[in-house]
Amino acid sequence: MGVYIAKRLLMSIPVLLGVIILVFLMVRMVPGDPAVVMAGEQATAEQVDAIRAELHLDKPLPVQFGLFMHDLAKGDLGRSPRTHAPVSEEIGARLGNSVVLMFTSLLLATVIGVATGVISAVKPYSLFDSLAMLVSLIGVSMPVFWLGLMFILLFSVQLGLLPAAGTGTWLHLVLPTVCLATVPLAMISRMTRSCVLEVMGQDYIRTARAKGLPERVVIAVHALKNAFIPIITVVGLQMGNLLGGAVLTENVFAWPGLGRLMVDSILARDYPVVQGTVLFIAVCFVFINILIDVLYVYLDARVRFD
Amino acid sequence: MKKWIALLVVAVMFAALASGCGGGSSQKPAAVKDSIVVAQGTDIEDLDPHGIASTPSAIVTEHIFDTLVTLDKDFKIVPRLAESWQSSPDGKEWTFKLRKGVKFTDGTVFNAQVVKFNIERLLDPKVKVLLRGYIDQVAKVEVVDEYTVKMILKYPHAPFLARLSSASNAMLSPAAVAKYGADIGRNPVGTGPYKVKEWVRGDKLVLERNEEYWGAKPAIKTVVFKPVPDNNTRLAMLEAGDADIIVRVPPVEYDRLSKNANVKVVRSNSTREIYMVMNVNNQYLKDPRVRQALNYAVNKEEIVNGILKGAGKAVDSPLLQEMFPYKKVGAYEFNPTKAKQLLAEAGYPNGFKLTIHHPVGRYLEDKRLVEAIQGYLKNVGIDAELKTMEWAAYLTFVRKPADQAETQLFLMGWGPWILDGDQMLYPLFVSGEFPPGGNNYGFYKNDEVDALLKKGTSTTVEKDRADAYGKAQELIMKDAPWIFLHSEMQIVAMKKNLDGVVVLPIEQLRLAGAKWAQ
Repeated sequence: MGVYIAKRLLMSIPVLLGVIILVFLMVRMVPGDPAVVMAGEQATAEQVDAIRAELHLDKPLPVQFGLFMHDLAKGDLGRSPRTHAPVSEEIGARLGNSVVLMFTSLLLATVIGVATGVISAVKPYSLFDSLAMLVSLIGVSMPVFWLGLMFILLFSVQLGLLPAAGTGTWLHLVLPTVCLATVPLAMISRMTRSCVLEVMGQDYIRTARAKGLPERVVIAVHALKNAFIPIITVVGLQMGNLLGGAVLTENVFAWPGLGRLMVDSILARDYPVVQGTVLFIAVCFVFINILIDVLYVYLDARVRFD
Repeated sequence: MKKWIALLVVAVMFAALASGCGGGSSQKPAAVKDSIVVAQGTDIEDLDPHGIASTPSAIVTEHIFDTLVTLDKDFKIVPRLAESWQSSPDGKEWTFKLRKGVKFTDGTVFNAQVVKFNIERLLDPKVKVLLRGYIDQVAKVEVVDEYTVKMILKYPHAPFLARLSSASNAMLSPAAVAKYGADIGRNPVGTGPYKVKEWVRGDKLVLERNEEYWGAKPAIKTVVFKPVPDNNTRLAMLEAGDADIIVRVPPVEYDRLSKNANVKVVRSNSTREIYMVMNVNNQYLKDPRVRQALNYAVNKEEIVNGILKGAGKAVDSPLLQEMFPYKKVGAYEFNPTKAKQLLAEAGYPNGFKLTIHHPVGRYLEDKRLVEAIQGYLKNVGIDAELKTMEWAAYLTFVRKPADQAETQLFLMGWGPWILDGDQMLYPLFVSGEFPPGGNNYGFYKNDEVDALLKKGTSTTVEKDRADAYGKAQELIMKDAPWIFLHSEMQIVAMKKNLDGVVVLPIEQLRLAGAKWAQ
């Protein structure tokens, strides 16, 4: 297994290199001069040039890339010309918030999603099934910023039960968690339903039942374990997504996460922060994927490392 | 069993909804508060006052640091760290008597040496000072004695005193600069009424009262600034009691919020002027008659009342009323007939085609604004096409030099940090300020205006300045390099029982005098 993980890690190097080159070129292809934008309208021409020099934008593209890679090799992501803070510090200040929100919302989405999915699969086309699938359809299609605002208006402004936005106590976490969980919850519950339904038709389920096992054991031990592979895949992908892609939720609830940092930096053409954040999230993606592949083996005896 | 759970969930949801409709019940217990939570639209970038250029950052640094002079609640220049000042008759030498007994929060004593250090740091090309234009008139700083400092300018500059009130010209502790180096922006040390207690980037900045503050002690012990990007969320935070002051309230919410008994809404003039720049090199717009026609074609009052819901004021001069020395020269009235007549005189009885470029989300209702202007122009036969651009791309686009400029008619705004007319008229209308370096984006050039604006800057006799600027304002209005539109109003909302908050026209808040009413 150690060999397998080492191999996967080695394979991730070209992926990350590709990400680095892509993001490096992409931020530079977007129209808008970072020096002009970050200096602001009232800045002097000399200041605009100074920021251009700070970002090495006065040098040819290959030289810029070389300098970026040189710093990166030393583990230095650079400093933001906008806030003057090291990029690692900018990411660090948001990482905890993003991770906490990702875990709570994925936990909520997985627990409820798997539960409703299994119940729906066990009693397909029942009232519960139809209702659950309808609700999850609404969940997938509801715009998050609208849902979030409705949550705030109801639970904070009207009822005064929960804080409207920001961080602080665990209560601050409730609304963004529920809001962010809706889409993955709907996906997980639909995925669980179809996977369990499919597995329930397999021969080994018939065998298990024929052995006289109670239905509860058939579902929990035999069906669910095998149905879990696609579910885990979805959960894993959502992990990466929610880490950097929860921008809308973060905006509505003023939640200081990585998504907002990235979007703010893109809008300000803050190249070092954009590059650093994208690279960081890409690394997370790669690790989560490796972790999930390892998990497959424990869940499904048919999957082997080689 | 499962059905029961589902039913229970539905029942709970209905109960929640029902009680929600029963009326808000978010009243907090009436304990004596000594803190304020301010929700701003964007985050603070940096707290090195010399490096900042954004208003949210300036609002914060103005509570940590002191400038030599400042604006009071009536927008007059008043002493702060400088107690008195005098300029030489030629306006080139400024002598400041400094306040005694002022200490930075790290114990450093404030004196003439400190002023010299700060001004020299502001002028140092190695230090990133975005608003260096607010100080680079200084040639030399001399320490006369412990509490007297003399600044010698490169040329006579009348608005110099006003410039010293800019948040970017605040006094930093020299010891802290030496200690923290590049990280001074995260470890600010000033002499102001508050100091930083905690800063969680992107989340909150907590200021606590500076107990050693030389001036009147603030009544409020803790001020928390939170970046809340969503306009509606800021409103909800105020209504739910999670924020005490919110800025940038959307104009459409003004009426509704004014009816809320727990909320005080302040709508006041700001110095942000909004206008459509015309590229005078354009084949049609180079003719002043065409530019005047465009001014006659647009109904400014209707824009202010209809689109901005009253959160603006149609301008009647290139300079705003709040700025010295404003002169009312009279706006172009809404007169489409006259517009058509002028277009016919210029040789375009059937109009022509134009492209309007504009940003979105930058100025109040910017998109609806240009859509209205497109309609007004259509009325007089000008077929304008709208091109929306994201701000960063837009700013780069309009800041191209004349030979590369593809601009025709485009929306801009200007909101200087000082209330001297120089910072409005000079950068926007003098021919030496063409892009890429300057802000005269339409390439407007009138030698007489150039001379008048230069005179207004260099003479220190107030009456002469007023005369020069007055004449310049008349000429600019007549030349019509812009479609003159309006100045924005800023809407700030706060808890009803919060008193003493000062809202300055430069879109800044002063909270040192704030207190909770009993």
